[in-house]
Amino acid sequence: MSHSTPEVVAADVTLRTMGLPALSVWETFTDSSPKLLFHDDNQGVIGVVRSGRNPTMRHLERTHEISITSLHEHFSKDHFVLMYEITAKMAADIHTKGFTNPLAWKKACMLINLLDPEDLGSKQLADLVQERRGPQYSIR
Amino acid sequence: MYYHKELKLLLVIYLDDLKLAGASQNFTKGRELLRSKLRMEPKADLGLYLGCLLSKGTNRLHDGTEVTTMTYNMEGLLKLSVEKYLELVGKDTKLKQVSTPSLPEETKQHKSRAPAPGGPKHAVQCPWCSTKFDPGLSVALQPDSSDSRPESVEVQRGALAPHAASILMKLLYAERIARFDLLRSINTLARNVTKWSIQDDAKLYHLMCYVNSTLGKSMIGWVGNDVKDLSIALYADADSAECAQSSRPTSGSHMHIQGKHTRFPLAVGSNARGV
Repeated sequence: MSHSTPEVVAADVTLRTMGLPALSVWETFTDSSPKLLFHDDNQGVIGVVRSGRNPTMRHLERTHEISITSLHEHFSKDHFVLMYEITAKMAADIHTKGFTNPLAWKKACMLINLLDPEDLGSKQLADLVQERRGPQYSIR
Repeated sequence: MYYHKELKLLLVIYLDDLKLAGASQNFTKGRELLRSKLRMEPKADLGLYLGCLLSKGTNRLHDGTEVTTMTYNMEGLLKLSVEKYLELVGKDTKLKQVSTPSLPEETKQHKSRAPAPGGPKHAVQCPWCSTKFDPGLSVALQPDSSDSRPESVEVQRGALAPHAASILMKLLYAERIARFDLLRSINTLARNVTKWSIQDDAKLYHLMCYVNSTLGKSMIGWVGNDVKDLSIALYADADSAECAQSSRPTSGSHMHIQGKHTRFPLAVGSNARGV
């Protein structure tokens, strides 16, 4: 099993079960399409989605029912943006790993909005949730 | 859930609890429409809704921007969960203060990943990890005699096996509404409900200690941008077969509304996947 396989599976599941339904709901409420910013901390996945093909992952369609071409097509649209995110700011990290370090745990909780009201004005939170200005991998 | 396209109001109905959201200038008209068909109590402010205490407020971010906040607090329901747990394990049980819901997890040295030990006659030593094993036997049939790890402890049925599902499901409801930090720990334990061991008892005890230590922890979403400046942010992550028992990877997903001064959580997911 390639190390990128679970990451591609996670990307596909997140987009299919959360992102696309949320877009439909948003469009119903506001009559406009928002930008969908997709953050991933794996360069391999970003490369696969950008190219739309990966000869070493041909099994994905059979074993996981995932079409890389479909992911590529989604991210070819104007309002879909694929972004690299550093692991320290990866909000989904808390849902995959067991934390035992209290400081790392506090940061992970802040990323998913679990915080004390007094932390809302802290610099630590501002640094953690600051919007990324780095390269955005648009497929167009 | 109903949406009124003209008034741009969203109505959520759960039995006799109604929640109306949308453009504030249309609220009065929306309420009048509802009252024309339903007998309703006078309008109440945000409060307890489906077990979650909602409160709206304002706060300032680090750069001085004033934002509107929405706080989701599940303290009441979590207290009930802790009480139920203590009833089952005994009121004398002391719940210690812990900072995280996870116990240290051993994956690299876990029994399921170690080379099979084999018999002493044909054993060869792995030059990489120095473990002795018999290459002639299939892994599934290898004897486990030289393994000093407490296998019997691992497979022994835990005392909370009959009650684990009800405790976990109560916690899961609180997690779905406002305590996303509990998701992974609950899901990891829920996978073992049918094969509950005393190790799972220990993990559940640690989880309850964490819940008891963080009863007042709230989820706070803040909004400081106009709707046209907002985006949907998705985060996807996976571990690399970190589950020691099954070697299956876990997919993690997180979604929130994002803007320069906005971060409002919407949904999360944590699922074990096949390899």
